[in-house]
Amino acid sequence: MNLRTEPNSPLLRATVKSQRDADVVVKLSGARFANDVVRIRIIDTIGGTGTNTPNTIDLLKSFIASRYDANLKMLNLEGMVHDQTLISNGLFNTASTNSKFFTALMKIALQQKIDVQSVNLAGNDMNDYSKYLTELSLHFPKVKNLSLANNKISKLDFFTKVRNRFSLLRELIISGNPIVNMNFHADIVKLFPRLVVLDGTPVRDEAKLNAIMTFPVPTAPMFFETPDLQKVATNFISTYLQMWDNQRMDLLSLYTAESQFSFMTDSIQIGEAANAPANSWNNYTFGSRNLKKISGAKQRQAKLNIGQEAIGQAFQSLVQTKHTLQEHPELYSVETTTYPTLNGMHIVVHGEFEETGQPQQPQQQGFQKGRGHYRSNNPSQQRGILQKRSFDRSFVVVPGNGGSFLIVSDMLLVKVHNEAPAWKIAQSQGTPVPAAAPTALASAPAIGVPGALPTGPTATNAIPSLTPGVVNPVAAALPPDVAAKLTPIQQELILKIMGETKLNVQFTLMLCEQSGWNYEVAGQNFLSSRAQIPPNAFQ
Amino acid sequence: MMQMQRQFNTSSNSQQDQDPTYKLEECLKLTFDSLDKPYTPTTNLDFYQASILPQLTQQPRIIINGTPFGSKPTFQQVWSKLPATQHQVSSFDCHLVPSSVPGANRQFIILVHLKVRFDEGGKNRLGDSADLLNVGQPSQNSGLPTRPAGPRPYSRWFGATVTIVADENIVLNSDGECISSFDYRITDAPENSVFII
Repeated sequence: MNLRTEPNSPLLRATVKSQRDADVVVKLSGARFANDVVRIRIIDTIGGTGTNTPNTIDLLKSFIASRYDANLKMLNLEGMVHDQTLISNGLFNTASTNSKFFTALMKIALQQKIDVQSVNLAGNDMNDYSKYLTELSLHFPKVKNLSLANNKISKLDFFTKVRNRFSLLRELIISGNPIVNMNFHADIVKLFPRLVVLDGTPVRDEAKLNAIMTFPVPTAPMFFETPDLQKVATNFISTYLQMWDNQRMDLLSLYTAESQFSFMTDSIQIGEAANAPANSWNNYTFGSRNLKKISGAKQRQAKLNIGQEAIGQAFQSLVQTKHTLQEHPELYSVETTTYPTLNGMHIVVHGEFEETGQPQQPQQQGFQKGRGHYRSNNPSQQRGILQKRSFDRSFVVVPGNGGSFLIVSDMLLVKVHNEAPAWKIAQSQGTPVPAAAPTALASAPAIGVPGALPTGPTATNAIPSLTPGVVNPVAAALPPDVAAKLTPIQQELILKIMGETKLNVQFTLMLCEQSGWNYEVAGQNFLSSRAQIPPNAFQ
Repeated sequence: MMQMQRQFNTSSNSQQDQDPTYKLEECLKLTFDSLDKPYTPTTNLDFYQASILPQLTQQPRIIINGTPFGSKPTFQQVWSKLPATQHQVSSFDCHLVPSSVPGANRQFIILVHLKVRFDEGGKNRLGDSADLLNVGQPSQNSGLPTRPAGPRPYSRWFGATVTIVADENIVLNSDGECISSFDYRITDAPENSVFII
């Protein structure tokens, strides 16, 4: 095996000689090694099958092109084993070339990036030992319609081998196989949980099936209890995260002597994310307050940061970050409710950040004292690996004196990075709204209107009344045609910059676009080009 | 009375006295177990629904995947129609926040991360099924056991983050109505799942 590391990545990449070797290695996925779980995936299998000379590849490519219907999204492989071109090229000469042929065909079809929803494997002399279906399930697990008609399948085992593989299979045709006379229909239906039609006969009530197999509450990325909360919270979050990335210590003015801040990590692996090495979390280990793991009262208390000084130290112990709320608002999700007992609000943010730099002041001195003799002299070995993370964060925010915000409680959970957050997947799937869904209040994000900056001379007494008009220091709104092209967060950025620069809408838009929708960059660009800005650019 | 009870309990439990979060893990387990509670056909449906998250107050904030619910019973009715679920708390943290109302109890703000999975066997927990064939009983000659093989066919794990606001008394009486806000957000969904959100 040829093993190599990927630069700046926790991944190891290896090459083996044959598909069989790869199959053996991949079975080790999930095994524990060095206190962690090893995950192994086959990422590129082409070239290992023995049939893939350049000529064969071209032959298979043109065969696929002749059998793929883009309108129907169907790969029609009916009677391929009787195809004269394939036969004359010796692809079915032996059992070995036969099985390699289909594997290669599937890989090449996958590489062609064709959208395959239906596959017709009718009339291919498939018997109970044919590997075609298994290969298909490995390469095209999202097939919805499948015909296996007119083959020689007689055993249920042929289908049990691919149970849990075709999670979206909707229609299956098995007519013309010996198995249809053996009363296995019910068993086959059971093996494919989304199957609705078998040999033209409805076997499940599709509407009911969709209702049972879909989470009964529709997914909305954003929730704000009131429109006014939306204004305040959207502004609070975007300003807070931006300052967290760029001027973190300035945020301390939002915390009081009673404010509480704590963070925790959760390295649990959900989905297909690449496995992180054990030291990946080193930057968080010392201060992480996961109460599931920390049971002692003293430890629990020690990891809870109360008051500006302790919170400031905790802030400095955390890695430097870059959030992408402005550029990729779709990767973030927010719920905001009122928090009546303190006349404030409760904001929960879910999203991701890139770790851009090691902590300014790693919080490990205390740790070092106890285990000084044990530690390496090279501090870099103790540092965590910088990478992307997903996070959840809960803030309880109350109005402070003079119209500023104060943070009563701030909890941060740092998790393994997830490329595609669930709310984004749900949106792309166009989740149907089931009849049972609650009708009340569903609140989509609308235009972000600027609220008060967390601490600023223009801040108003923001939260107490939460009534229209109170939280709106920059009484401005964008023209509808401009607003329509922008995300709520972009709109908010525009309004904020308009408020600060006094530029008009068009020039602010230009400035934002040229600055990549980055507040900092926009500010610098404005200052550096101020002399050249024409008077009519201002409000 | 409640005040007396609190005093009694806290004074009888020195660990609780030292650490107000001491019993919280147990409370969370009870809370999430109630979301997974199976329905038995002999149970009265109203009674079953009322046993889902009984810790909610009478007028709670309930937000599931960004969608708010108008009332506790509405939420309980919708939840009772899910397939069987399994929740496992993976990590949690909490803060105990005082109230601005003199004499009022403090509140726990709890941030919980969990794994959750859903039964993909084709039935919801009330037993409703989309099957038109009698697929519950495999044929005699199938070679398959007449009960579904192995454990329930659960989906792969989803990831969820739940934020809870609860009265500090939750640690004294975890069945009491003390959760005033329950914000449940599925953040991670597995690929190729039969069950989708």
